Amino acid sequence: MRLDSARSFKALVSDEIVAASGSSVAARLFYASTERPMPATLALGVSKRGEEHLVAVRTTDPALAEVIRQRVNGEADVKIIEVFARPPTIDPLVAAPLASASATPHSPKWLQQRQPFLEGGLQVNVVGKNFVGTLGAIVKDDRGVKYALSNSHVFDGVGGTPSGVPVSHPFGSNPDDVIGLTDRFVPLSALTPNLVDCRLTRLAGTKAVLGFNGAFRGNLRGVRPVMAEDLNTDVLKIGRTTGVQLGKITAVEIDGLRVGYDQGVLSFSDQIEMSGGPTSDFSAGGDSGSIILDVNGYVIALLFAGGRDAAGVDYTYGNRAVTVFEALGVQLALS
Amino acid sequence: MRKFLALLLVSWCAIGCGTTSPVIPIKPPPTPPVKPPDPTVKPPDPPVPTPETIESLLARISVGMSVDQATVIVGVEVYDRPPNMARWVVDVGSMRYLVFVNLDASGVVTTKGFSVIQVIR
Repeated sequence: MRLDSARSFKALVSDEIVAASGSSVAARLFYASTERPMPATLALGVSKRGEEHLVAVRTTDPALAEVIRQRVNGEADVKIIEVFARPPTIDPLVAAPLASASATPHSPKWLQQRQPFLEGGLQVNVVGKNFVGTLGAIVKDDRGVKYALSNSHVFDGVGGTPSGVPVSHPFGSNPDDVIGLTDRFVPLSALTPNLVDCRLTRLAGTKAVLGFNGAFRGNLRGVRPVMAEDLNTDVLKIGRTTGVQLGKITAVEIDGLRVGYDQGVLSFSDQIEMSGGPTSDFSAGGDSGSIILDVNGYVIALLFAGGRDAAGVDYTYGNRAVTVFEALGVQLALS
Repeated sequence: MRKFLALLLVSWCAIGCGTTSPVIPIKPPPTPPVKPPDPTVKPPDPPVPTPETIESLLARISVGMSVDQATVIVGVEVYDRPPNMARWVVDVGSMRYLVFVNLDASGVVTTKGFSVIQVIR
């Protein structure tokens, strides 16, 4: 299948949803104001096998997947999968191991220990909450104010934590561990497809290594969009649970991805899927907020969710990095 | 007219040829007496060496160098050793940097770089 054909099929399914909603002005206005709708239990994207593009089908409903597969004459990449946001609820004692414990730098254990200089991959926690996530990168706005970038569900915008609440590394309310205060985020909608799950913590009174990323083992070069040409190319990430992992982009332009949160199931559009393959998980709970890089050191995505397909293979999902940075009005703080 | 020209010629001769100035020998200027060095005056300071920048520090680390040689150049203990990597925290001027090198399996520098460590206010 050609790339255009896969995209056209996605658009056709979306148009069918709009048509089925009737011709009322309210329905027309609603869908004209949102990302393209998808059926309630179906996500469609684009993947690639060899030189052929496929319609990526991600659903919990095998019967629906079969219907779609037949409609595209078998040119589908079907995964029966349930996807969840990835913040683990954890025991605080486990979350804050003794700083004296030895650990290989950039290993999960090291990322979960208190480090004197903030850098991407370290564990972070909203003070008073019993879950942790990953600091993705240090970013800055036009005024030069520096922030830690992670997910909204890591810095608890999803849970209703307002701006101004202390955030610590690695965990807890010790004043020495506080790195800054929760700041702006993009609200998530239960009604319309979302694009990003992201939030900032404004940094204060801490030291940070600007630009360095332990997965790339060098300085980040920038942020770039993910294209269909990136399918099956290598990606990297560093997160507090699984450390540094290598994976591949397995699908792009995924619309209608349903992601389970504590607050309910939300839909996401224009998402990117990655996998470490059948023997290696690219991410796990707690890696939420990690930035995902290409092998040249460009940020391409913000990790926020994952799940296993029927074969037990783990798949990781990320927001497009360019959309995240635009939505929050920030850029990488490289120096 | 002829009378005027003749007068002009005579005048010219009177100015240009008729009177010549005596040659005055030019004396060299007197040589000033050599003063003995003043023991109370300090000699000028030697030129100040160019202050090291992070770039000049990094330039002294060569690809192919061992991690131990790089440590001698950086001049501080290794901050940490991720796999196939070494990092140092270095103060240069008023700035603090994370200097890092990537190493091959035998501990030889393959690439190098630095990041700024900034105090966030």
